[in-house]
Formats: sequence, C-alpha cells, structure tokens
Amino acid sequence: MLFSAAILFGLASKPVRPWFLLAASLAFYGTFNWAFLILLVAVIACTYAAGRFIQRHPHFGWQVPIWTLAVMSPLLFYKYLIIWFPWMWESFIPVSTFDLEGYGTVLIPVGLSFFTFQCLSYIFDVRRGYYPPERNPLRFGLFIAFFPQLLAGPIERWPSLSKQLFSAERPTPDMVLDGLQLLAYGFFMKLALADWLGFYVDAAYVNPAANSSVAAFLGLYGFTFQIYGDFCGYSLIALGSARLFGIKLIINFRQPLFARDIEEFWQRWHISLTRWIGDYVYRPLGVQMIKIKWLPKRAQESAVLLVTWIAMGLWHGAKVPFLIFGLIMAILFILNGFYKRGRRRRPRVMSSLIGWVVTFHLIVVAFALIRAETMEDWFGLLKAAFAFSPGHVPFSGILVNIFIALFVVMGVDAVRRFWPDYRLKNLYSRTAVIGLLVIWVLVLGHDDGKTIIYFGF
Amino acid sequence: MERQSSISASELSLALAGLALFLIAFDAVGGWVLRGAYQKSTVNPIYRALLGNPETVVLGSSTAMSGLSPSALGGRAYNASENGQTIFYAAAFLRNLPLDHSLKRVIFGFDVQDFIRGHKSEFMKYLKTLAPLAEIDSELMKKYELNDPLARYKYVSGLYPFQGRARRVLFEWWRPKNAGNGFTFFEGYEKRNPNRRPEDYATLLEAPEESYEALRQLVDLAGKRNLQLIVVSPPWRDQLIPARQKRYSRIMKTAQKIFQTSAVCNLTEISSSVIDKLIGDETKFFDRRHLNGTGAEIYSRFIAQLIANRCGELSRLSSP
Repeated sequence: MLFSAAILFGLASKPVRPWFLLAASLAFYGTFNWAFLILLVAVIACTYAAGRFIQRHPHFGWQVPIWTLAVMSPLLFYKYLIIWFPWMWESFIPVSTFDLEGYGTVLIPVGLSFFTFQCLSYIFDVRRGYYPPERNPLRFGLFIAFFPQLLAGPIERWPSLSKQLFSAERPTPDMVLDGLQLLAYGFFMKLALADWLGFYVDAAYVNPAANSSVAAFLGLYGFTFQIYGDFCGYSLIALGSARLFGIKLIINFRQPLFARDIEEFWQRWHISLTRWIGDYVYRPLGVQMIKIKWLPKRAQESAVLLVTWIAMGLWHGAKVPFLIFGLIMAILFILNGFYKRGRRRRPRVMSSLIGWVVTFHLIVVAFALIRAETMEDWFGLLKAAFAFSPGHVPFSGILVNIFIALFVVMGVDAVRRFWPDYRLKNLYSRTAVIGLLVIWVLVLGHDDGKTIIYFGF
Repeated sequence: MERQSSISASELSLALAGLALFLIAFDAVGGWVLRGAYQKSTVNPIYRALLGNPETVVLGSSTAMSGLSPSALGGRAYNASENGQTIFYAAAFLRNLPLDHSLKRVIFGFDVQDFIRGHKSEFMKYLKTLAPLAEIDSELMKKYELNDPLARYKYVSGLYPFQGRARRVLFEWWRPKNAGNGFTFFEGYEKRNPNRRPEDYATLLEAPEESYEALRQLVDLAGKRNLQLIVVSPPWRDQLIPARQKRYSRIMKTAQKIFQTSAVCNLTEISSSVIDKLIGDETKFFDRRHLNGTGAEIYSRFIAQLIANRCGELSRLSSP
C-alpha cells in the first residue's frame, strides 16, 4: 500500500499531490477505526479554529488555556479520566467486541497524544506570533494527519513540515534509496531485535519477583533494548515512508544508548518530544520561576525540572510507576546539573566512559518503571535480579538471533556516534544492504507483528 | 527549484530491479528447501504428533490442552491440542494426516469459543498456532486469508510462512526432538481480576454456519481416515454465568444433531457427579476456563473410563 501510494504520488501532478497525501492519510487512519477518524478531524478542526481565532482576537484573555483544554480534552479523557473514573467508559465508549479473557477492553485512538501535541505546538506558536495561522483548513489538516508521523511521531513543527508538504516536490532517486534503506533498517530493529526481546521481557514481567537473577537481568536490560529497537525502529519506518513522498522528517533518535550523561541521553532519545517539552513546558516555567525573586536560582532550576519531568512521566500514563519515573529523571537531571557545574575541564576519555556506563545502567533501571504494571513489580524485578539466585534462561536459537541483531544495531550506532560523517555512498552496496536486511527480516524476524510499544502512550 | 541527486533515476531503477529479481529467486529457492524440510521436522505439528506412533491423538483448544492428560487416558496417546487451536485447525490436522499413520482414535475437545465468530475469532489471529498447518493446508490458508491483509503475500511467498522459524525448521528436521506426550498442564489457581467487567456473549452474533460446517467436516474426515472420533467437552467454571449458559445451550443443540447423524462417540453432555464436583471446586482449576494439573488427572481418568464403557464397542468407522 505504501509503495503504490508513493508511485501514485510521483505520477500525480504537482497541485494534486498534497490533496492526494491528505486523502491517503485520512484513509490510513480510518483503517484503524472509522469512529476515531471523526475524533482526529474534530481535533484538527478545533486547532484550526484556535489559530484563526487567536489571529483575529489577539487580546482576548484566557484564550490559550481554553483552546488548550479543548484540544486536549480527548487526550485527558482517554488517557486519564477513564482510568481514574472507570464508570465513564462503561456506558458509552466503544469497547472491543470480543477478547480472549471475555472482558471488554477500551479502544484508545492510536497516536492521540502525538497529534494532540503537534496541534498544541501550533496553537502556542501562533499565540507567540512565530508564524501566522494557516487559512486553508485542508492544508492544515494535512500537516496534522500526514500519515508517516501520525501514529507515534516524530512530533513535527509547522514551519519545517508545512513548507515541504505544500511544495510537493517529487522525491529524488537519492531520497527514494534513503527511504528504502530507512524502512529496511527500521523493520530490522523492530522485527529482528525488539519483538524477539519481547519474548523474554514479557516472560520476566509475568511474575517479576519469582524470576531467577539471569531471567530478571534479561528482562531488565532486555526492555531497554526492546523499547529502543521498537520505537527507534518505528521512527525510522516513519522517516523512510516520508522520504518516499519527498519529505524529510525530524530524526527522533541519535544513538541515545551511547549518551555520557542523562541530559545528553534526552537530547538523543525521542528528540521531538524532548524539544516539545523543553519549548512549551520547561522554558515557560523557567520564565515564570525567575519572577519568584526570594527563591535561590538553583532551587528555581530544580523546581522547574521537577515539574517538567513529572509532566513527562505522566505523559506516559496515569500510573504511579510513570510518576516515579518522572521523579527519578528530575533527580538525575538535578544531580547532573550539580556535577557539571563543579566540573571545570572538558571530559576526558575515562570520565566519558564512566559517564556512559553509569548513565546506561540508570536508564535501564528507570525504564523498567515504564514496563512495570505496579511499583511492586518494579521492586520485585530489581530484587530478583540482585538476589543473585540460581537458575537459568533456557538457551535457544532466539537468544542467538537477539545477540546478533543487537550486535548489528549497536555497531551501526557506534559508527554513527564516533564517525558521524561515514556514509555508504555506492548505489550497489546500499542496495545490497537493503537486500540483506529484507532477507534477515523475512527469515529470522519475529513473525507475530507485535504492536509498537509507544502506540500505547 | 529542482532537488539535486547523486544517482540518476535509471541507475536506481536498475539496482532495484536487480534486487527485486534476486529476492524473488531467493524466496522461491529458500521456500522450496524449507517446505521440504518442514514436512519431516518437529515444527510440523502432524509430524510431531505421530513421531511416537500414538494410537490416540487429542485435538482442541487450550481447554483440551490443559484438561486431557495422555498418561491418564491410557494407551499410547498424544495431546496435540494447543492454545487457540480452532475447529478449522483440527479439521486441517485430519485432512493432512499421512496415509501410513498409526492413529486409531481422535479425541476432540469441543470448545464453544469456536462458535463465537467462526474464522473471525480472535483465536485465528494466533499466527504461531495457525501458521504451521496453514503452510501445507490451502483450505485453512484460504480461511485465514480473510482475516489478514498480509496473508495473500504469505500464500505466494516461499519464505514468509517460515518467518522466524526457518532456523528451527532446518534444525529440527536435522535432529527431530523427542515429542513426549504433548501434555502441558497448569499449576495452581489464578484468581480472576475483579476490576474487569464480564462481557455478555449472548449479545454477540449468532454462531456462523462455517463453524458447524467445520464440525461436519471434522466428523467426515475422521470417517474417511478410518478413525474413531470421540468428542468431549472439558469443564469450565464459566458455565455458571447465565448468559453464557444460554448461548452454550444453543450451540450445543445444533452440534448434537451433527454428532447424532454420524458415528461419533459423543461424550459432551454427560451429567455426572464427578463433573459437578470438578466444576464446584476452584482448586481443580487454573482459571475459570482451564483445569489445572490435578483437575486434568481427575477429568482424564473419568473420560478414559467413559471411553471404555461407552465408546469401546464402536468399531472403526467406515466412510459415511
């Protein structure tokens, strides 16, 4: 479907191309659930109206909070209210007709938080006067609904994406090849690494406290690599799909597992969300905090970090482990700030190496909170891992698959991290790499097609 | 302004055409090799089930998988039922049996879930369970095709049906594993989650005709393969929920007619104090639907006794 859409896009005349993309994007979202397509259109319409209203009535007080609440209301409802007040969904929210347990499950619109955040950034930027609002509702609709980034980001900004979407240039052969390469590598990360790891991670989290140490460590470290392969793989698929239509999306991951401190990690992990939080939560809060003169500067910084990271944690969902995740990240950021201020010299090789090892392990422990259902599960898994109890994980070919795929992924990341200018340039070697990745995914990839973890957020 | 590119469109087309040709050839050759190896590897559920020359094979879903212990059933028995194994799958199993099989009897664990939505049942999404037989059974594949947009590709591709299993197929063709007796039992009792609301099956669609058709097919195939078909219904604690009881009764009524018209040893509607006692005792269940190891032993011994008393006189079936 993607390739036929890309070919049709290339064949269409320039003025038709954006509308073709809009129709394809809406049809794509509709395949998940037609009822939720209405919700997407409603959010787009609300954001469009907000932009126009803000332009016409720039001095109307309270308009930003009102529009923000309006655009965010589906997100608040689906992500938080139905969890805190379950009776709300029991009577009128679509429930899947049948599931294995024989219980109803709530269907949540896929990508809801991602496209809501994109809408919010548009409202805030228009209010700040960074750019005028779009007059054409269909053009604005395409900016939000553009299908490669609709489900799980990257969260794009109006200036960069709209310019590319509406110039509607045909992709160059270079871009097509880049796109195919990104698609193949994205599927490799997802199916050859993340989904196979899920096999061990899921097993470790069934009854975390009852694991042997080996199984618990595999669950603990496996989840970090799983979520990286899963989400980075998805982002590369999104980037690759967009390239086939001549669009360059923002790169969402830059070798985060090689970060030397927590700040660098978040500059490299889910970059579009980190920037969003930075621009619309962290900085505005910082500006407000400066006004509180009696509070020392460091306390101000710490308070802003704390609020920002709690918001980031709760973005993942309305659960205590997510809140604790945010708190841990805030504390790590505060400590990192103290450490960096005390350091006068540029970091040496050894301190970089220590920084990388420490950061990686802290991330592993903190990310387990995202996977754990409860705090009890998280403590249970950590306790099981560090109890050094005997036991083993049954060795199978799956582990060999995982280790080879992990070696490839980390190897590619290491090359990109330490030799950022290195690129495969020869057309035939690039095509051969695509072929190898396709064969790998076909023969050794996971066959179950697990859902992208971040679809749930 | 035109964008610049380091390669021309014709160069790219040539390279991609070459890649496509190579992939098609690789897919065809790889698929041919794997399909051959698959027939005699323990990844193939039929080959695995027949490895120990059993006389009895148990087919069915997780209720039969966890509820019927081959050792308690007696004789050389193998439990080939699996999580999510549907009635369509059981029919495919019999359809693809080799001519020189050792089987005399098939015990089929009747599961009302097969009648909820036919091939559209969630169970059919269990690719791992379905795919091993879909690889060789075109009828099952056709059913599955309706459920998965990727399935058409899967049907024409040589390698795709073996995705993630290629290494296992080759390895277990080279060195077939000891198949054991196939029995997987659950231990303990998993309490139900009180926060989740029960769904009323009575409001769902009527049981599709295709499920009854598959049941008829199963009965016919057993006859054609000269096998005695024994239908059992492993107990559920769920039967206590009135809405489900109503639906269950409706489906059973039609199913009983199918069993009556053919020479089947029907042990589905047996009322006995053993069954009543089992259903009333949660310590014999793993959850609301599955017996645990202790429950399975009691139920299997009871079924073995019933088979000896009620099905023993049935001679091998001739073609209907």
